[in-house]
Amino acid sequence: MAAGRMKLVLLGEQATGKSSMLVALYGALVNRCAGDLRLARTIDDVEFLSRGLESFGRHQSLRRTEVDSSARLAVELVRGEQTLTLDVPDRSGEMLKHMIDSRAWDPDLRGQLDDAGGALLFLNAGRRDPATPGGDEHDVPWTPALMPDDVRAVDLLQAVLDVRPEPLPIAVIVSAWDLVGVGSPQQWLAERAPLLDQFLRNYPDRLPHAVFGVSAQGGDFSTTDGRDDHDPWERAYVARPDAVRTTLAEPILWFLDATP
Amino acid sequence: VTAFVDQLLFGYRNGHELIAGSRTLSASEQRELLPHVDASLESEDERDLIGISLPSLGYVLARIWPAPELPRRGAVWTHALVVGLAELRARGLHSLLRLLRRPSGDELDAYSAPLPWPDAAPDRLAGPAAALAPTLVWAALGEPDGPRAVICKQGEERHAEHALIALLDALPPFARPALSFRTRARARLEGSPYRVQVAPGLAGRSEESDRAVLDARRPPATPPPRWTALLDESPAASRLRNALARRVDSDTESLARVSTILESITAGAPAAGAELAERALAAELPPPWSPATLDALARALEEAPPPLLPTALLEAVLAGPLGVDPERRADVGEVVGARHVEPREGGDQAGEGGER
Repeated sequence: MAAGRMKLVLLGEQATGKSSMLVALYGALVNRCAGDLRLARTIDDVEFLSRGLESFGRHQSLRRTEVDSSARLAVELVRGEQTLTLDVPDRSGEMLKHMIDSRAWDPDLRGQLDDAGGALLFLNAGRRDPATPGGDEHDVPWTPALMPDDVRAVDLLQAVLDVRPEPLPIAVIVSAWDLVGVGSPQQWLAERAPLLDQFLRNYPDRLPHAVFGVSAQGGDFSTTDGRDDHDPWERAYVARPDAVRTTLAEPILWFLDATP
Repeated sequence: VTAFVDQLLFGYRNGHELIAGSRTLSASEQRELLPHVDASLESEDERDLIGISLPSLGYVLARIWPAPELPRRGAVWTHALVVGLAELRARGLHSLLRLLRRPSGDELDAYSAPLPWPDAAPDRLAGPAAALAPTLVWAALGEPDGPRAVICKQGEERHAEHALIALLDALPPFARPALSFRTRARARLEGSPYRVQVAPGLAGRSEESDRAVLDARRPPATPPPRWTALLDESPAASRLRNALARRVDSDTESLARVSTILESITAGAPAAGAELAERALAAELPPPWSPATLDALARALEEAPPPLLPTALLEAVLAGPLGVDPERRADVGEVVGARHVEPREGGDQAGEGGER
């Protein structure tokens, strides 16, 4: 039986759904809702993942991840004859936000990229473009935080290209996908984050990528419609780049197939 | 002249970030500070206290509270005081705890100016704080590879705050920046940047948790070193604090070196006799002592077999690589010999009688 290790790095600013994705993936694995992927064993502490599933079960969004978080999803998976050790450290979005704002590498992230087998790049479908004025906000002085999300993502990926000569497969995760309604994740990226879409298309060898829509909660908990009675792992889903609905394991399977 | 202390307020806006402050922060200062002013608090009455020296900023004393009124679940408020290392060495921190306060309403302007340094005497340790103190001292000043997490009863981590501040203030000024601590709901055994963590629980898995923690809820499996009584109200502990406080100036930041000296002072030497020896040593080698001198002293103390009598201590030190003028060694020995009184049974009392 072939065995492998895969370490993935999470690239996403605050409130882009990184922890929610990990919790939903863990829920799918534990409850055998992850298609071809089977959970063989957990390697590290899973308390934050279990607590997250409990929150989803109560129709509560997750608590934000603290800057100094040591949480991670570390599991051994089986896919057919292949075993895989998957390690995905959770990351606070604030450190990435600070890194992009200050244009200075976060040493932890820099270290994680060296041995990463791929990266999950998070964008929130429900986030309002920070450059769009609303109310009195047109008086707010410009700061880097007002740059559109795709500009910030491209800025980050350019920095990644500077320090990593090897290819880095990227799964673009459009979180809160249940808010989008129509179209495919690939279309969403082209329309809502066009600079990032163009940039990724220009680096097919160094940044091979695919775009997924992820609804980790399965709906918006602030509305009655979002509070269905299914278990969290039954509500959560992934939309493939072509919009076909599938399991939370899909981005991991894409990494496995994209990695030689 | 009134001294002032800088303050910073962090909360959730576009992420957890600086909301107000009496000073600005550079990008590198923010990157260094952020992990210490954020928390994942598990209950609405939890609050963490953090003390740590950061190279770019100075010593940071901060408290974190839950902020359920802010828009993101799990958001927190953090009020941080930034203390210059010179102030830390000269004043200690005992009066600063009362400056830490959670914002309520919109009065954020109150966090935009430096705060006058309160003029207050140290609080006397009592009740649970006094009971926790020896274990905290043990964790802070014990072996560098020894336990750094103290497990206490639920709710007692708040009492530990006063003991931690008292411990920091009892250290020699040069050693204060090296004492970092955090009270929290669950201590982390891996990757913690703090010298001491105090918590009612542990986070994560660890196969070494038995060796990595001191459990203040139960009697210790092995007798604690005598110097763990450093914060007691007893005369002996007071003498110990005085002896420590006289080590006034050095660039070294080694708590291990301090604990070696403490151990040597208390292991076999009558406290008063040790003071006598120390005075004689100070006469020969007036402070401030350089790091090299402290190194040599610590080495000499480690090599001397216990019980260590003051004369033997001095001889060991003077015979060591301290660069003491050989012609003056005899003078120092004579002074010590004339003033030193061998202890009777009962140790400390005999030493005290001899000195007086």
